[in-house]
Amino acid sequence: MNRQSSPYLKAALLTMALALLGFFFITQLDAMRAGELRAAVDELRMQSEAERMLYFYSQVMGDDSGELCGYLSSTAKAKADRAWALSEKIGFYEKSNIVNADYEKIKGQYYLANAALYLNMRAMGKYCGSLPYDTVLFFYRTRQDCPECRAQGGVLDSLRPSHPSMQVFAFPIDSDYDFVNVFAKRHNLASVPALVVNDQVVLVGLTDAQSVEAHLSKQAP
Amino acid sequence: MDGKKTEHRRSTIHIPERRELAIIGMAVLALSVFVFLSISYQLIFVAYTLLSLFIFCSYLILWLEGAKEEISPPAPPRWPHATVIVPSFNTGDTIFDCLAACKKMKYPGTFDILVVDDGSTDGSYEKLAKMEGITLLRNEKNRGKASALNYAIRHAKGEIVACIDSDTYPREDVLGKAMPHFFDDERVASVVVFVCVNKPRSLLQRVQEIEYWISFGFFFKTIASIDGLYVTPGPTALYRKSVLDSMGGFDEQNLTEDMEIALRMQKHGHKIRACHETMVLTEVPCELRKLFRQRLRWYRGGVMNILKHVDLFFNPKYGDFGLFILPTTLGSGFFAALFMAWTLMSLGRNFVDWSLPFTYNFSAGLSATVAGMGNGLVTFQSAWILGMFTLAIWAYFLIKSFEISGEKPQRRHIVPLIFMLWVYPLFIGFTFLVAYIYELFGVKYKW
Repeated sequence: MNRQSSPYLKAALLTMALALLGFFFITQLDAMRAGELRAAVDELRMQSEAERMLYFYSQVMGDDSGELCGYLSSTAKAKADRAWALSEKIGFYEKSNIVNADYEKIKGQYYLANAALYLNMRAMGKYCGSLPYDTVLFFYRTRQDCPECRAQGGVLDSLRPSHPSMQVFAFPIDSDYDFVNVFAKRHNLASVPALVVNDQVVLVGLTDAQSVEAHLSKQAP
Repeated sequence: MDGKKTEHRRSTIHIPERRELAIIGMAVLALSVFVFLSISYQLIFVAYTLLSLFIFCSYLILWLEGAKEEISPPAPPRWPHATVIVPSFNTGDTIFDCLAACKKMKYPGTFDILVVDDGSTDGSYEKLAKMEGITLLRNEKNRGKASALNYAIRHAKGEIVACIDSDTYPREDVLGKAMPHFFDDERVASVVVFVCVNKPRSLLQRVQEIEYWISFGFFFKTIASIDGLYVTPGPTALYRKSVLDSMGGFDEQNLTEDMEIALRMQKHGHKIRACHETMVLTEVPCELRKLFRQRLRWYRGGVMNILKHVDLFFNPKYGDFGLFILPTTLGSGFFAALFMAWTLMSLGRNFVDWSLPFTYNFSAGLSATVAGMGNGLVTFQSAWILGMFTLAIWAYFLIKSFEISGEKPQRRHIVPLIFMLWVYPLFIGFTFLVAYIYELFGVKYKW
């Protein structure tokens, strides 16, 4: 190296050192966030497992006192809300993530837990005779850009405060998970965004708040 | 980053035809959509940050390895006669203060002042004609600054000519301090003087004040230390007349003739030195619209001269100048423009996200917007950590720039600095983008 080029060599080394330091911090940050998500998803899965265990218990033991229904319906909302909030967090953390490769796995675990929560809620309707909630299945797309899907998410978000009984369960239709495809096939969904209200009403395409509202059976108090 | 003003009608860029604008807009949009959808913004961000980190580190090392030294060459064996050239076109507002400052200059040798009126119509010529102590030349028709300068150079008696813009006020010691640099090395063909902003009033001017300290202070000092100056800023630059004569003077067809002449000097093996022991004060645009027009001309001139002297780029024959300075100064504008295009696309996409729900339900739009913004604020992008290093090095440059300009950082600098960090780059990047688009599609200047 001649004298002239040495400052740039030094600069390149300095840049590399700083970049390594930067990537070390980035790795730490990304790992911290992924860890936080993993813990939250684990928690969610445990809760849905516990719920399912209670249904199983009632089936095996033949408990029909109604106590169980009261207990389950009182805790279901908090769980579904937490699941919804977690999905947003996963989305934002994933967007800012650079080095962590665990997100597919975290998302898979999350969808599984969310699907279990949805089925538990439907089961509650069957087992207890009536369901104090409106369930909304929301299908969107992740592999291709889908502004309408994001807009639909916004519409659902806006309905949440005025309709506390509405519970939204969101799934990407282009995922590799069989259970999502089974859900979608049941309603012959071909395009997104799509909503399935109370397992009966299918709304395909971006649906505005009034139209969603019209199909909710538990009206706002 | 040359220092010319929009004082000549010939340099004024006119808004192109609507049809042209529409075609450009559509082409850029199509291109950006394609690029944006194929590469993630985050990847671009990381690549751009690493590139700027390297450039910043290089300047840091160059600064620490010599540029920081104070340069004041010893008094020369003789003080050559100097001719101060002030071109003027309808500059009645500033030229009389400028000439007063020029006359007050103290110089151990002798100097004369040559004013070229480039066909003024504001009555300044008539007033100048009555003035004593200057030689007045006149172009009947307005022919542009470069032409006026060439005209004056042909009539200049000095061995050294000092070209001073008519809205620039030199300090008393400018000639005395700049002249010794010519005797430091016989290849020195030009000496540029530290340009600062005269009496900044508006926020925009105060932002430019700091920008000038950094650009003409820190960066010029560093670039000059490796003989890499690529522009001899219009506000004030001294030239060896024999060199100008041998090179045929300024390029009269150029938007930024002060950059063109510097590139040509570099090509011919001449040296350009920077004098930071004194300064000149210049007027800067007070409105965003005027600043945009000024910068658009600088950056278009930059693109024009890159194309004209493309053989200098990455040419090992020109050492640091060709391999590092040119690509990182003139060339970096290209990256700034590209990065800006991506950023705009990213913002546009977020905007669509936020605004689409409005079309279905107002309250939905509102809540989605608030939620989106809230999450955007708390979600700290991992890649920003790299940006922190660049920011830290920049802060060091800033401190050094204050030292060079002899200013102490004060509370009144805080607001302009905040603007400079988070708003001004968007403006500069956007102007670069427009300049590249205009040059790419050959949008005409008004000549």
